[in-house]
Amino acid sequence: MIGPAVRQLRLQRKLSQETLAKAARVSSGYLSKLERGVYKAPSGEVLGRIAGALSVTPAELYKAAGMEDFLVEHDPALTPFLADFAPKLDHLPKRDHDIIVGVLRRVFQEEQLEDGNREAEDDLIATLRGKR
Amino acid sequence: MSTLPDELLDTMDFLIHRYHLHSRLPVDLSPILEKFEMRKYNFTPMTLGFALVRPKQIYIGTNQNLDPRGQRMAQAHEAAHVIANQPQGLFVCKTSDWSKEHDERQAQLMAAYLLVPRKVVEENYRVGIAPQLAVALKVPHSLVDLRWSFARVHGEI
Repeated sequence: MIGPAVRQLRLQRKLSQETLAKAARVSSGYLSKLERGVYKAPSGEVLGRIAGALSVTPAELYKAAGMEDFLVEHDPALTPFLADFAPKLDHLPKRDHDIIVGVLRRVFQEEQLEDGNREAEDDLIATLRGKR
Repeated sequence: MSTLPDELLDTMDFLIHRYHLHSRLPVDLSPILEKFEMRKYNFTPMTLGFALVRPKQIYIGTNQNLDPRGQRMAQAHEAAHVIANQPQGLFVCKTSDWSKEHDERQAQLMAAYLLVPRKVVEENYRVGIAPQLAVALKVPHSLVDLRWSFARVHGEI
């Protein structure tokens, strides 16, 4: 399950549930249930935001949860990204295909992390401005 | 036909001038290549390399199993896809059959234009000398022949 890994990373970063929830743009209730395993499979978009708020990639989050193979097959956000390039990968030898798909996954995850970090920063700035 | 649109020739002439690419031999493309994320991969002999164009970064991968001259050509070929501003986001290029597709043919011709300076062709090319020029320029023999073909079609020689 992904929830305990989220909790572990959150505690390592000394973040409260409320702080992480705000940064990831989810409710505290949702995050609490995710961490307790009530919710087991967040969407790719939500996962990307939570991972970004924790300063890790979704793949690293799944790795921390012992589920690193899960992302490749089931991240719904990754599928359309790869599908855009699928025609270019037809008829390649399997080794070459796998290498290039690996590059595409890495680029996708880096872009997701960057987007997540930017959104988390924006949210944090908005939160701080709101407190003034 | 071994030729290129004028706007592409202008772009490459600008880059050659801007970065003094043809001031030393063999040509050093690093002033251009360092703008991209360049990596080498353990591809099969079928694959030359790829170029992936994303909004904030451009990724170029080449086949580490090519000989050094082939690797220089592969890097120039992939960079050429980017320089030509071709519309696809991903270019995956084979080591052979590049002449069958327009974009691949264009990229290979641009690679020849970048790595084989006009002056070298103008002053040195004659029957049977291409292998020697290729060694001096650290490019495959075929790229010198392609550059020579372009020079003839384009009226450079």
